[in-house]
Amino acid sequence: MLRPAPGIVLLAWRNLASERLRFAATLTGVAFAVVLMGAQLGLLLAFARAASTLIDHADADLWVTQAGTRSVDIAAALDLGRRHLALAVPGVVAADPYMVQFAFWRRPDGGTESVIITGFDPASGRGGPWNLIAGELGQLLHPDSVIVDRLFLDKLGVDGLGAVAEINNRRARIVGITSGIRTFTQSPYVFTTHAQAQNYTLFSPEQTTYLLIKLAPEAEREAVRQALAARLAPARVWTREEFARQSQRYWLLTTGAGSALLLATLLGMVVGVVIVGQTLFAITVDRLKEYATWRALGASRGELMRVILTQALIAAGGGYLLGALAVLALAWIQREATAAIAVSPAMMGLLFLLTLAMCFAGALIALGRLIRLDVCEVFR
Amino acid sequence: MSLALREVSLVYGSGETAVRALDGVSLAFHPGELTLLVGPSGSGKSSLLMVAGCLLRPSAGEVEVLGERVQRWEQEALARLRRRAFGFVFQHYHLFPALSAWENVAMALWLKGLRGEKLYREALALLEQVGLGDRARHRPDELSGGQKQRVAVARALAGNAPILLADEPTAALDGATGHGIAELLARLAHQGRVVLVVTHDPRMLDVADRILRLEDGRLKESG
Ligand SMILES: Nc1ncnc2c1ncn2[C@@H]1O[C@H](COP(=O)(O)OP(=O)(O)OP(=O)(O)O)[C@@H](O)[C@H]1O
Ligand SMILES: [Mg+2]
Repeated sequence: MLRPAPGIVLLAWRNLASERLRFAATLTGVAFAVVLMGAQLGLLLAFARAASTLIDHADADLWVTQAGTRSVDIAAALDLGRRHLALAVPGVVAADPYMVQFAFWRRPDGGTESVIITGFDPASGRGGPWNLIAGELGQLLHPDSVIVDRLFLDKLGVDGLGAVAEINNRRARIVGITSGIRTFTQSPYVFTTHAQAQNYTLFSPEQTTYLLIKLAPEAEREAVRQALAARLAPARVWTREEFARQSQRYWLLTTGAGSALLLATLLGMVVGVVIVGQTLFAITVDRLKEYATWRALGASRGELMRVILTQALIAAGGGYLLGALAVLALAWIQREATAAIAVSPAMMGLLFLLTLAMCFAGALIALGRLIRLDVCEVFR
Repeated sequence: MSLALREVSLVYGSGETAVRALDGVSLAFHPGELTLLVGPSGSGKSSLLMVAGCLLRPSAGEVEVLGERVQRWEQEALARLRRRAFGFVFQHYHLFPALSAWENVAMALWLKGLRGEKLYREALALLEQVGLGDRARHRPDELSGGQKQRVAVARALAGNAPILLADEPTAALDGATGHGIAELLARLAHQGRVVLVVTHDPRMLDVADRILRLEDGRLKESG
């Protein structure tokens, strides 16, 4: 058992720990709220990551898109001739074509799914698939070859390398399998070469949807971005970060997923506030005469409040520890699911801040009671 | 003069429901004396203790503690004053049930600024002074009523408070136990403290140096 030195922490700890059942219930309650909040934030993070995953994994400093583009998944045609204009701008060392376009996937069993064709330039590999676990990237150079993710094999109705399906009525043979490439839309990304993507989507050889710009190491990014924007207008030039944020915002806002998840997070928080609040209030009211005696002996109002706040902190710390472990376990268990919760240090940090805020909010009622404490209560 | 009241009045509430609990009380207390405050129920004994102990501000009159007139001080300043000047003992002990005897005393010492090894030794010394050196690690629910009251007295002595105020300290205790607490309080007074005890308890009369009688908020000194 913990043996803190006399002081606020000792009093706070003993007050909590002496009521084992209540303490255990409180920790469980806080942990439960942490899991609720963590699961929602984890989904939010996973959705945000999925919404920008193509951008985050393409080795491009700048993205050239058609004017009005609002998400990487929904692209409009761009004239490939602009590639030469872009290459002529000082500081640009590569301007690779990149296609992203919805298409229909006909399963071998006859069913249909929507997919997102992702065509990259095999010469540079920029925008190509990552986390390849089977097959070879080089195989894409054979006609009708595609690479898909393991998470979506079932959905696509195929069982692995060599399986054959159709995209927009053209043959597609699986020559590679990746792991963990999720999509926000749940339409799987199907990677192929840029030329093959033009074929599948009936784009002309003179068309693409994006140009992926790579800069010389010494180039000043913002200056080049402006020069490109002037040269390529009305096409738009984004930094990769801008375009990633834009794609995330687009999907989280237009689908309402963002606000739904934030609302659910808030509900988890409310649960926690209520649980912590009722415990702290109960154990404070039980001890009013002792607090009043302490006040009579000269404790300041601040010292009394610190006892309650320390109790809130203990509940937050203990509950977070349990809850965070559960969130990590959940993330691990779901790692093979198409819509898994994701975790990151920043997200776990935010979760801790929310837990603290939750417990301190719960402490307010108990604090209010202590502030109104009348020392004379000890005489009655 | 460590503690004195001059023309102190205390009125609870206002208008129709106002109650005059103290009415022009003047008093001085002498170190080394055990003073008893007696009187019928509702005569204002607890009220007087609260005003003398700087827990309540009087409606009129002066309260002087350790040479300072404090009747108008604000709450937190009074708390700091109580910290160095007063110890309190109540009928129902009011020990933190989750803390051991030692820790209950230690918390009061902590409040008065002691830390570390010094605090530890002082808490044990105080418990020994009230005859409970061997019960330091016990929690209140493992102690008898008399033992609990001894812990409360030890806590009141923390920081060597020069003034000890007690409200009915023996009322909840049986014969011999109550007598033991009475003698303890007398001994502490004779060591040079101001000790003021509100009581109905005839066992306390034997050990008193001075007895004050309160009736309807007015003082009638006797003995
Ligand atoms: N908070 C209060 N509000 C209004 N009136 C009060 C309050 N506290 C005490 N009184 C009144 O003040 C008077 C003195 O009360 P006090 O508690 O000082 O008496 P007491 O001598 O200690 O009585 P007892 O022996 O029963 O403890 C009583 O008439 C009581 O009803
Ligand atoms: Mg009384």
